[in-house]
Amino acid sequence: MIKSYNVTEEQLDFISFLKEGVTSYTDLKHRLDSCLARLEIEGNRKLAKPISNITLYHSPQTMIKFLSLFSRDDRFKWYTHKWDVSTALNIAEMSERQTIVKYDLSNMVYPKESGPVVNEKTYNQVWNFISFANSGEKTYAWKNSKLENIRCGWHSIVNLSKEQPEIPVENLILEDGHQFMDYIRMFKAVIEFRTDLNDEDRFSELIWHRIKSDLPKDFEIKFDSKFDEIGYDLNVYCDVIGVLSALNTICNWMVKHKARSSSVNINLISENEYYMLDIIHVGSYFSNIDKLKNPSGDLQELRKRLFSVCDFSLVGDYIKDGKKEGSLEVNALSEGTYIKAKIMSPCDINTSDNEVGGIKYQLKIYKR
Amino acid sequence: MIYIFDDRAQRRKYNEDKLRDFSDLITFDTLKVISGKSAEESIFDSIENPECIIFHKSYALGDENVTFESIRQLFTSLNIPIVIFSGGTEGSNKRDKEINMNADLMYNNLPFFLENLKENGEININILLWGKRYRLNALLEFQNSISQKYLINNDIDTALYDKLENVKRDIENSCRKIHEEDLRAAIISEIEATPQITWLDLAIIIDKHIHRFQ
Repeated sequence: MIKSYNVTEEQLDFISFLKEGVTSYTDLKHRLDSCLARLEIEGNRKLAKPISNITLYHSPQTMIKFLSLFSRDDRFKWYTHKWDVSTALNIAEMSERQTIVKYDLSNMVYPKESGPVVNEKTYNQVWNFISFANSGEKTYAWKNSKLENIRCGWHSIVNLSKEQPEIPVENLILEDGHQFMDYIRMFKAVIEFRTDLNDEDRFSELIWHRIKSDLPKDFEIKFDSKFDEIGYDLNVYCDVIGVLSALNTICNWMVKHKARSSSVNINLISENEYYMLDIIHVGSYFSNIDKLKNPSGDLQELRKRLFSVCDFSLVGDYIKDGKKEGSLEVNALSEGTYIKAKIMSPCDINTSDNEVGGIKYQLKIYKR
Repeated sequence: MIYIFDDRAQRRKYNEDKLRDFSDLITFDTLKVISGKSAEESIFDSIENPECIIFHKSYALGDENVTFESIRQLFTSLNIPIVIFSGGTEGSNKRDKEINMNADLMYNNLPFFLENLKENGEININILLWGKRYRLNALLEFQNSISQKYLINNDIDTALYDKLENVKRDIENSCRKIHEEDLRAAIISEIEATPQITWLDLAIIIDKHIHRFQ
């Protein structure tokens, strides 16, 4: 006897969607499991997204922990490493596992309790590349080190790997003629400043080219010799796009205040715990302390972008109503900076009688 | 003694067998934190007179308090060559005492490196990085990188114009990477002495100096 159900048209559509292209019980089970896991994650995210009492702390160290998963954690490393296990790589299993491990990743950016977090943009960069679900009508992009939007990721090779199971995934040729390996490399270059890919992806090269292309030719830009000595061999996990975007904003500020000076000095130092990149706009100065205390516009956007990526401070001469008033040190992002109810804590400002001869933008990039 | 720390069982077993002839020079070791001892003490206790340490970047340390960075600093403090290898590392990079390189490349070159150590009693990291004919390979890679970047896509009879600064910078950095200071100075000096230098001039200058230094 056939059992009858009362089903709406919408429910029928959903069942039809689930069954589309599915020919085996295993495929159907896999699709159902993925849908259920996604529902659970979305549910958790909605619960965890709250406006309430959760305080999210700026923590570049949490970003390092997050990004280094792709080197040290077997659940994540195969997204960037050549598969060197004796059994064959199984994309369906990897995809299934992803629905489970996503919770661990999303918990680092949308925690349920107050604590250190990963920047949502850092997370999206990573997720949009690795997600098997990032396909269909709306494919979310991640950026490469040239700041181009890339829509290719692990989702792009699912069908290809089924059609050509004998070819290692990294060697699969995509529609645009590139091997998938090219995109894996691009991804690796934006989650870590590293020395083993193209020379253009080294820290010193990325920063040098970004500053040179963002500032007009009539700017006199001096890179200290230490910049290349340290920056050429620098290996550190970091949201590279966050740093490059910040440089873009800083260069725009310097262009905007070109009338004050077109001289820029770049220094890099290495300490035990961090690297400090200094960009000094010689002869520039602050003129509005209130805008620095409670920033809006570009400065606030930059703080949001660098939140949990690196520390950021500005040190510069202060001229009020045409009169020199010493200098200001603005700690825009440092230990203790937090976001609560979507509002970021104000900048911490110290004053000094000493002049510094310009404005120094400082990015402190942590080593661990 | 050379210590190698590789936690990928299959790869370790395969290479341990392959390098059996060199067992008096190299030992495959395991990182274990001994209870009651700090990670540092445990590690120092397990190595004796190390001449070089070869360490898997993704080594599962099994203790949340012990990070890769702390192990790296610990080994670096020994003031001996430290080779960090990984399947995810694609090229190689040599700093003062620290070398980062691809796992397959490291294992391919390891027998040559050990043969040299056996014959000459010398730790020559360049052999690990570049193979038996290490200098030639390093120079050819330098030439290849400049050719790929500049010579393939430019009309070789045109002048470098505003690309000159970039080219000089790339030559400086590439020579630094392979530790060829004299080669760098010779090439840069000839570039600067050539008025209206063309891409063809550049190719000839590099080729000439590589042959001289080969």
